Amino acid sequence: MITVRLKVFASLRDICEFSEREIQLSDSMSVNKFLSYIVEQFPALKAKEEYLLVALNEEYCDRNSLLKDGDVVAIFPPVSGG
Amino acid sequence: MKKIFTQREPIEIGLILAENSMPHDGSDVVFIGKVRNNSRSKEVLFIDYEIYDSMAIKEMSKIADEAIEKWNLSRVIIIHRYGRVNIGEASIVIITSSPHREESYSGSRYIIDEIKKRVPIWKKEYYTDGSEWIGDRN
Repeated sequence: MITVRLKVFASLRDICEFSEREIQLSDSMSVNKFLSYIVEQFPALKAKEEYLLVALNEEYCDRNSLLKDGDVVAIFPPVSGG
Repeated sequence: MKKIFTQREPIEIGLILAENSMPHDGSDVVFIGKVRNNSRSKEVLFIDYEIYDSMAIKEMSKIADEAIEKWNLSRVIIIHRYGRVNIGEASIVIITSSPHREESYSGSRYIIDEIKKRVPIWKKEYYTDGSEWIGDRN
């Protein structure tokens, strides 16, 4: 069992109605598989899945990376700062 | 010299410009990104900036390092605001300094372009008839 902290920003936060949550997984999985799992939990994210960005421990990441206990995964829409 | 930070309050450009100014530099380029009162044919009232602060600071720091390395800049200061920013106020200030102007101009341009591509900050525009996340797709 591993615990991952999920952070959600901007329009995706509006959809999920939370900004941060701990998620327990029965085993390690890839970032990609984790995203599919999250989309299953929040079907409204489906429409955004194609373009959402992912960061693992505050860095953009390879979606094949394997999650480990204590990791922080952030999902967010394309950025618009400046 | 590199300094990167975010703040809710309006940015005092004069104070920041004077900070760590180097006598061997002949050029300071100051880029100010401001909130304008119109966007895509709508009247904008103000913008709320949301920021993933810890990652945004890291990412802006990487961008500053890249610019320093590429143009040998003596000083890079980046300040990005979060929360509500009113019309005409600066949402971002970038200061680049170098002995000659070409490097500080090029570095400044690179930094703002990369921030717009990579740094986890989002703006939500508020209009007379609603609000919208910018950069989002439905």
